Amino acid sequence: MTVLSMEEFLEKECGDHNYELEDYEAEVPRWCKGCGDHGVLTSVQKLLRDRKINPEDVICVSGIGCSSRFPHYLKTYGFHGIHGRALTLSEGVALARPDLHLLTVMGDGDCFSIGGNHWIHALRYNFNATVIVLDNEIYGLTKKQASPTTRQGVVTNTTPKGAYLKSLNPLTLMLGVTNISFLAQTATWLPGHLDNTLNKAWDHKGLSFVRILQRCPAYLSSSFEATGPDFPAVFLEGEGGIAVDKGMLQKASVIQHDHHNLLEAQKVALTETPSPMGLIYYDPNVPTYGDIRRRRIKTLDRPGLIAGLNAELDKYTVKQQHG
Amino acid sequence: MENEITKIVEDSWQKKRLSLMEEIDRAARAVENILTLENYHREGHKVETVGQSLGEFGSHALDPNALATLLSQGDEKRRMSAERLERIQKIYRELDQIRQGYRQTPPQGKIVSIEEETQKILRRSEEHLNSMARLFGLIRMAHMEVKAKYHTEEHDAYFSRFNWRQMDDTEVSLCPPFIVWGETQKTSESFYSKFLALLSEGVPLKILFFFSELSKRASAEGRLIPLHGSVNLELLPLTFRKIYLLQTASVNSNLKEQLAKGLSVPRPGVFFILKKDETLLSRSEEALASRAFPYIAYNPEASTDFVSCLDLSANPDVHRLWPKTALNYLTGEGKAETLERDFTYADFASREKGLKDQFTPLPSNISEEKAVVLSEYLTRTPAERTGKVPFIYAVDEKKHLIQLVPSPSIIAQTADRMHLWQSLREVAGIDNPHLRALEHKLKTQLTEDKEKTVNQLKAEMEARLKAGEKQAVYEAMKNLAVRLMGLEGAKIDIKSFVSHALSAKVPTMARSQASGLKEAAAEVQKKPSGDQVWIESKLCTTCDECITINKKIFGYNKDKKAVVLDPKGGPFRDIVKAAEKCSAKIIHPGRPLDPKEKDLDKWVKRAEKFQ
Repeated sequence: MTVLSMEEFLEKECGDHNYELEDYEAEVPRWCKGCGDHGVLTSVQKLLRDRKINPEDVICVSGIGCSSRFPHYLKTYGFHGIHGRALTLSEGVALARPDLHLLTVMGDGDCFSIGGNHWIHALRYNFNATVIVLDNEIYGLTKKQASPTTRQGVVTNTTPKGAYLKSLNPLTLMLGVTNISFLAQTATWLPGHLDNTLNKAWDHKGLSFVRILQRCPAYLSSSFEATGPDFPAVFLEGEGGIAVDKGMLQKASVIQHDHHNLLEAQKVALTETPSPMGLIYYDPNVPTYGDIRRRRIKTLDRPGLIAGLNAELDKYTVKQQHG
Repeated sequence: MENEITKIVEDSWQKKRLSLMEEIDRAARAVENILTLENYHREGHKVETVGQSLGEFGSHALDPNALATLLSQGDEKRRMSAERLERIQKIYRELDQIRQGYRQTPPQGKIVSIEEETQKILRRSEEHLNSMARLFGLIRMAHMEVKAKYHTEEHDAYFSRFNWRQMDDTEVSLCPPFIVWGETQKTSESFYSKFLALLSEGVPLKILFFFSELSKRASAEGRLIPLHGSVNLELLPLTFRKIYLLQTASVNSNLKEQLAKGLSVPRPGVFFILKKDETLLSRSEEALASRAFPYIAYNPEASTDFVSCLDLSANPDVHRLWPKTALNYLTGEGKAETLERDFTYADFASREKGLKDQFTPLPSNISEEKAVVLSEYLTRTPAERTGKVPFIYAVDEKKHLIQLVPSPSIIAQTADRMHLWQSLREVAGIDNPHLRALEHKLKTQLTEDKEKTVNQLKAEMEARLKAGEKQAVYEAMKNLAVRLMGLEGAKIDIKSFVSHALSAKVPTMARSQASGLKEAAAEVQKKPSGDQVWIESKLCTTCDECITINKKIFGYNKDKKAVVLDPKGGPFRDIVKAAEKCSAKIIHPGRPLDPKEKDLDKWVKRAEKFQ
């Protein structure tokens, strides 16, 4: 009789099963028809199905906004957090449950505006998570207010005379943060590229940040050249980068890019027209925060720590006096 | 003795015990969590619990009854079946019981004497392991319950039969060790057959065997050696390739570490340990050097090839038959001198108290030609040995250098140790005739090759120098001619070379893009024949627009990409609307199928953009 190790045994008995897309589908999405969120959800579901990932081995954490309804529609563990705090919650999850695949979903307002502080520090902490921002350049859930990525001159309910400022370029900002380990950009109108990007991000150990451009059909249908497909973009190609399916090449041209070179990456990130699509920066050697912390826990002298703590607390013991 | 062993085992097993306790804790905590959650689903929304949670103030402000009814909606669905609950409770109870038991009396290794009956030892070791198998079975069940993957019909039978032979290596290494111990003085002569019987069952028990004396008494005839005595335990790995073997002295500073490692390997292990006692304490190093008790570590887990598993590196001068050591003595004038000599087994034996009578001084009538140092004597053929007297160097009480002739028995034992050491080195891949032959062959070949290459290069260099001179003269002449007469120089390759080098990068990029586009065109979905509506499904972004407009005409495939389900599923009007709304602009409406459709001209016109 072959002896199965506990891991093999559990793998065999509790492990991989063939799943269908329906196994990852929860409620019927309430997003508007035409919204890019649908495509991202399907792309994530396909990734889970193709990799035969157990729904119970995944947790999806989000903040507030249209895109943050993501966990409701993905049949895995989920946490619909509060506005701007998806990354803080994610970090807690990453530390407490390193065994789960962590997917963090935010919108442009959620991540770049109210969550801006956490965004910077999450990148520096480089905890193990796949972080996606569905960037439609507008607050959709609250019906058309300007977000940091809303373009200058765009009329919204908060900027009736047109947005005053030039829009924020989140890519250049991220490439200035210490410990950035994975940055990619893609768009919902490049479905094959979106799939490949999410797959690459999923494989990265550390914080893999993916900005996904998408159109809001209800409140900013004119964004990204109205139809997306006409939006000027250029694919980044490099060894070990994100593959560009041949079918995608009719949508944009390709340039060679060394995603291991930070200066090159910063240069690419600065160029907004055409917009770079693909792996912008990648450094697999940045240690994750979880690993760093766990290494310390392993070397921790627990008995010594507890003895010290007890001795400290004993100072405050109230002793009963006899006689 | 047993106390000593208990200490050794205790020391080496301490760390593993913590890991075992952690493993139990982890499993117990996991099932405890399930039970806590289940308890919440069963009790958490009862009126009293809700009331308690609200507190005195809250209970007055809110209606606990109404709240409990509201909160408990759907609780029924969340609860697990009574059967599963009972099963998890049982796992938890048993795990907790073991855990509590271990906290009071920590799990200990079992120690039995090799003097016990073989079958009894084996039975006890299996009982010991099976009690651990029960525990690991529970742990496995606990992990399965966490994942909700335990199915009674499939797994009950598996776990009812789960015994130590199904445990994995990690689990076996976490079991308290089962030790069989013995020592040379007490052991009967049949212990070798006992070794065989114990090891051949494959039970991961550990045999700790202590040696106190190393030299064998000379037999009455002065000849070596009855069979049982000549059995080389050092070569056990050749018989049992899957056992762990360690031979070392108890004064070895790494002993504790090595034992800890060896006792936890998930396979049978044999440990030969040179016992610490007064006479041997200062001499264990000499025992090691003289190959009387060589250091051997054989770990089958180290590698897949035998040679890498066998480690002799801790022996002095591994590459020599005998190590060189210094013998200090005083000359007749009282001057201190040092003699470098091979330290053989006989040199070691000459210093053992009980063997003094095995050595006699070299008779003075033996000529220098006839007397040969033992280490050299042993490397000679029998014919070369004839007429020679082997001897070793030693010092007398006054520290003067003397020559001693060992008894035939000691000579035979020394030869035997030498042969064993050589055999060990051969199987450890350190030295063997094939290696030596190969080394010699390679050396000769390399030297020849080297000479050949050097000569060749020399010749080439000379030729090139000559040619270079000629070329230089030619170039100079040519340049001069060009300058002087304004003639066009002969075709110089430099130009094409430079342009070639500069353009090296350009074509690769251009090619990848150009070929990519070509292939892209090939990959783009072809318009099907006929005039019906069609979709470039590959480029669909799953935005739901088309299927919201008409679910009969449009639907999703298994990758959730839009496809045409039925072109006749609705009016042409819906198809055109879908094409207009499609965010990826991949719906091509084709021609209407129903010529009687209302406002058809208008729709055909609007469809033109998307054809």
